[in-house]
Amino acid sequence: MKRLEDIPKKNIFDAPEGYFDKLPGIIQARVTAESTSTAPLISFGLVLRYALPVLAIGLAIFMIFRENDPSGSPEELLASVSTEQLSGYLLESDFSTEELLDNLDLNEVDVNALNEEIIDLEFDSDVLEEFAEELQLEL
Amino acid sequence: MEDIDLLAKIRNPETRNYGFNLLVREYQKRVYGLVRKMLIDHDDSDDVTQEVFIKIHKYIDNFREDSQLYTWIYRIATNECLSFLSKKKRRFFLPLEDVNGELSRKIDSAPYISGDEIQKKLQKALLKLPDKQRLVFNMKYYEDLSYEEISKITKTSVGALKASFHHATKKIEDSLTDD
Repeated sequence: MKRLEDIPKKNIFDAPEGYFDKLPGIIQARVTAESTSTAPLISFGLVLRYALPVLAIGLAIFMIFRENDPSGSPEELLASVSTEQLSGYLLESDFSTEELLDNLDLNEVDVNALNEEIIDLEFDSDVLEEFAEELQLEL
Repeated sequence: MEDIDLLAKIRNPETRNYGFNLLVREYQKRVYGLVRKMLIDHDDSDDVTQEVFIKIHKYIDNFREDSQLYTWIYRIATNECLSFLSKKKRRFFLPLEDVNGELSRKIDSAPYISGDEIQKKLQKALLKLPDKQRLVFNMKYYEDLSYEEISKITKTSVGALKASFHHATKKIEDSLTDD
């Protein structure tokens, strides 16, 4: 039987020439690189782990509701109605001009545009006569 | 430089990098030597040695001075070695014999290995031991650490370490005789 103590104790593993001169620099460079990139990596990791699934679920819910809801936005709906239909509806409805004006949210640009339109109105004599008849006025 | 001075330099933000550099220079050969005996291959040992020091840098502020610095460093190094070997076996779905067979072949063919035939036979016999037993054997036989020191590194009782080393020696001698 061979005895362990009969074998000379020797380390047979060598390192490449200059390895231990370079290693501290390599490690220092890695430490510096990792310490500067750790924070963004963690944030990015958290984003990937938590925010993306939440965003995906939110997007899925939005798409489902959007597909099930045949109506679009109020602006889109209003744009799809012709001016004639809108005028007809307003004439047949019980809204007074005052009520309509009270519910309108006019900004300064809208008011100016309306004023310009009113000022630019040119009534010919036939229109004025019709208007006077309606109001039972004598011209 | 004493460990206490190294730690003081590392804990001072103004001298942290310098202190850590000194620590690497102080311990790199011992860490590499321990890792290399476990992993055999230089490139693998280089990777793991770097990881050991990266971890040391990361957790140095958690080091409590009720244990010795080298004990703590060796513990990180042994954990990294065992973890590397475990991952290697899992990654390639290789049975233990195949990984040890691969390491055994590297003893004959890998660069940066010297020594005569009997030294290589001893290394091949060591590869037949379970990784933890091989680690204990290396620390006792090659690093000349006491059972008390190995006990602190591996958090294993001195009695268990003595039994492990005795069994390892027996297995190695049997293996050398069979060959």
